[in-house]
Amino acid sequence: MNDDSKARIPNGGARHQIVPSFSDLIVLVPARDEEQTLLVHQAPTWVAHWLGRTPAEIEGRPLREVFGSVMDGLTTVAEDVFREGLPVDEYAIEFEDRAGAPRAALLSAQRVPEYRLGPTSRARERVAEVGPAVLVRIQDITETMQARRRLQGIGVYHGILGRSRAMLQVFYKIEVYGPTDAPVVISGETGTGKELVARALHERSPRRAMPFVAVNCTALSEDLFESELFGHEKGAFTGAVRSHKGRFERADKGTLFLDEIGDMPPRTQAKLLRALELGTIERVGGEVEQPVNVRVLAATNISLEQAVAQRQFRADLYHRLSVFRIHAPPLRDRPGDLPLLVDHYLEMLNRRYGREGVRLTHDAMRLLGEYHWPGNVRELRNVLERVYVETRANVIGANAFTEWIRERDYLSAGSWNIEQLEHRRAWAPPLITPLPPGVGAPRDGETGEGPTRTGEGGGWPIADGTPRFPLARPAMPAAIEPPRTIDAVYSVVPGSVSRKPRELTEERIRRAFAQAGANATKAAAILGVHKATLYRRLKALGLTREALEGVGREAEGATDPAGTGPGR
Amino acid sequence: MNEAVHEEIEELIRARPGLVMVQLTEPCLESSQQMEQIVGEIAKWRADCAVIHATFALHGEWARRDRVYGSPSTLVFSGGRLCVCVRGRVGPSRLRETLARAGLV
Repeated sequence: MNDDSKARIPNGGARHQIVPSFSDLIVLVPARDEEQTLLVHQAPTWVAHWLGRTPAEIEGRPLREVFGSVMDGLTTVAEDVFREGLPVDEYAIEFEDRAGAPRAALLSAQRVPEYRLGPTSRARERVAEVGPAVLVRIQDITETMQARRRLQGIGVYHGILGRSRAMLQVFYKIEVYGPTDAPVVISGETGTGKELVARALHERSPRRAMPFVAVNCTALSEDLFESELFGHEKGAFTGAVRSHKGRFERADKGTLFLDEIGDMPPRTQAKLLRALELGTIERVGGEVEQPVNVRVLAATNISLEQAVAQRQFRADLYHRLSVFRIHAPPLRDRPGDLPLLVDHYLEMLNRRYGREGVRLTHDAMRLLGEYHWPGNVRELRNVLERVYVETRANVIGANAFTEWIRERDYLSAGSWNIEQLEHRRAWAPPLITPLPPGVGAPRDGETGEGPTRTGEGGGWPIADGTPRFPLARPAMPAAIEPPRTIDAVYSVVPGSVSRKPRELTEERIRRAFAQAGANATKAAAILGVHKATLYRRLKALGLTREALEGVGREAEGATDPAGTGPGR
Repeated sequence: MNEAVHEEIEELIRARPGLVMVQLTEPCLESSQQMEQIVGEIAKWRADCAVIHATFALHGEWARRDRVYGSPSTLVFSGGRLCVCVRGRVGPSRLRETLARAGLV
């Protein structure tokens, strides 16, 4: 684009404008005989090429005929601006050009009252010499969009799926830390994709052409660890029948990924530190130190700081490794990514099992959205495969997950609770009251009927902020505030229940115990936390279970004067 | 998946008795980020106004029914009926003026 392109669209109030031929300007003029039809007076060559034509082929032709099937967005904007006279500023459209390539354009359009056609205009025969026109400034932002998406993670970033804010931060850190040579510690729960993050860091580094070697520190016994990491010489120990290259050597000039480094034996930690400090290793049973050029990435699902405090992890190694930190967020902290992940895994399963168009119902999606996901993305992938295989139909409903829910309830009391589910189902009022028939005119292409409601009576928590299936995050009525902002992509803005232990106040805990009839498991479920979390919080608050059981029994006594309720 | 998404957003719009502003954005564009803020501010002027943030990537197909092909776009529904559609970036005063003309603020 030349410098002219930076010029603003001329003031529409000026009389008899002759607009210079900007390289990013489309000029549209109304046909003399048919005022609602806009004709292309002028268009940049590159725009014509998107349409598979030359400027000469599109100038003088009707707008709809030229752009209609390819760039609906431009046609609509131009027609609206011409009809209403209101300018449009920085409106981004995406489409496929005539050759099928994805394109993105930024449009700014305004109507000018008196535009004079140039003497060579191909539209002269069909339009007035001076009259209104629509000027559309069009910028090709295809590359910019692609670059930003690559960074901001519109879907996939080095094989990692996510577009939530939490994941965007991870992607940003990968972009920044990747090209350096410094160690990175990747923390996160099991199943959050720590190894994918490590691989992405490797891919973003200058070492990408060299090996990426992964070691799972949990999978190796202490005896084997040194040999596996640093290699051994023939005869170094019983069974060492030949010399063996260690992972450090194999990763030379590349990246060594130490998974679950918190489980590394203390003796090996010391040797690892030495290798990192000196840049040399010595094989077990060897006598020669050999230089290695390795970037170390480490992952952990425990708090290394805590491990250092408990003397399970060397402080000096911790400081050597923790130059950069990346935290892989758990799935429950990025609910907006759930639809993307579900879509991705269903597509993958479709390919694997040779089926087409299998999808989850709205209710099933909501059910998954309400789960705590202790196993994170790995657990999601596994449960999807299970229900996919078990379900013959192309539409997978919430019922398909029943058995899995029941199993998870046993595995993780407090994350799912069937009793709670049944109880809530019994008393929960309908959350969305459909509007009476006839309210609101039907929109284009609609019959005017409301959306079909399937399953257990769908609805988002607009009416009172209470989730319909408050399984993992049961609602505490006192804490509910009607949400003002509803995030359709990232699920509903919560605001009702917090799972943060610090926000588990004594009052909330007492109330939960009273409600649960002094049953700690049920109280944890009501609070939406795991029982262990609840116990930790009790300890922190100096509360004893016995004292709370008293509260629960008192409450029971109050509601059950006959004294026939559970626990008696 | 798309059908579920469409049904979901339709339900949201129909369920809300007051004003619903659907803000269609493209997260990597500055104009979208600016409009999110402006719409958020405007929404505060009416107590019964809810804002739905939607991305064009996910809800584009749904938006096309109302001849919306790009982002940022602001669709304002009242009683489930589309009343105002604003394309591109606009200032707070123009957005308010547009809503006022439609009798919404």
